[in-house]
Amino acid sequence: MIVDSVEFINRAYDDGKRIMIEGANATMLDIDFGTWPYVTSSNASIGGAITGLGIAPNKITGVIGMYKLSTVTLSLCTLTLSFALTHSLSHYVLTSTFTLTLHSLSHRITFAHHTLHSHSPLTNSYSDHSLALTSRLIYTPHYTHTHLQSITLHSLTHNNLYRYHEGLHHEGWSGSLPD
Amino acid sequence: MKAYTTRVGAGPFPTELVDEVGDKLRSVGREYGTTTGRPRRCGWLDIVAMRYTHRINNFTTLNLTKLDVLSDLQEVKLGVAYKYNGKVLDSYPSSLEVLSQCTVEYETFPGWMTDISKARFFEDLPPACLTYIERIEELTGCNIGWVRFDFRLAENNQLLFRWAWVLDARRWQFASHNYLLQHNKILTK
Repeated sequence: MIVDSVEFINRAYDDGKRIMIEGANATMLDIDFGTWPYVTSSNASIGGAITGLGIAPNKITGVIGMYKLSTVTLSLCTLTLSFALTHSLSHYVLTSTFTLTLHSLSHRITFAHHTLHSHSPLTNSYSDHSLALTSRLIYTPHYTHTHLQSITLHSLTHNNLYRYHEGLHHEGWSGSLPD
Repeated sequence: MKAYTTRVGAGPFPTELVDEVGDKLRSVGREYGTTTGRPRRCGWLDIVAMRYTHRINNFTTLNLTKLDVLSDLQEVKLGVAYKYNGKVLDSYPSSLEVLSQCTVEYETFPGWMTDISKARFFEDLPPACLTYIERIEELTGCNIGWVRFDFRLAENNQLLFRWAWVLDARRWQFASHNYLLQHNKILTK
């Protein structure tokens, strides 16, 4: 369906419809605010919602960030932890009263995982299953083959990405998560 | 937002004035490109484009500028709708071809034919001028918080003033309210 999207979205807004906008990629792949040059060709952070749809910024009433417990990247640069970290933030934009969702592409995650697995010295703490947990499990509730040996949590706020040196290491859990 | 519309270079410009009125806007408003000196194309205020930009940006307030450029005109117009194939369009056309073939429906207002450059308050403006301003507010659905005049050169070629007056939004609302009371009007938006 082809519509005049500016008219379409703003009319829906004027009519009081609940609007959910789904972003793609992640903030650290944003061409302006990401880890250039390892970025995509557009604005994958909040600005993309505005420029992409022609909806005014002051009409947005909520922004939900979603990120995985682990970090993946597709870039072919030598992976360091900080680089890997930078690629994990996705943003969700909420207008009116409803939520919206956004997620990374599954096949990209798989490939990215492989890259991580092959090249990152830190790969051992990012298991295949943790990737599944954080990406697929949300959308595929029956995917329960999670078997985490350990999980590393990192501060993912934008401002301290580059200042990050050491993550907080937490005990992992073993066994399947319930459906 | 200028009290009239200008455009530099090629492209659709439905409300463009190619007559002596346009020439007058250009000379009075000094509508020449800052860098290149290219004459800007001038026309009536394009409310349709204005509404579109309001949709994109959702302005909280408008600043109407160069209002005094219209002061000498017998009548002023607002381009309030685009017509294509005889039908009024309900949104800004996304097709250049459609846009270039649109005709414009105008609302015409009597000019105020008064030097308003010395006005300091909303009440100082002539009624015809207020009508024009308030109609813009109604049509765009956005409050005009400030009105700014063009700068004028004094006879000795010195810059006399750059901003004749600036009215803040609260002041405007206050003045506007008074005006409406005096004229027994109710703002429709």
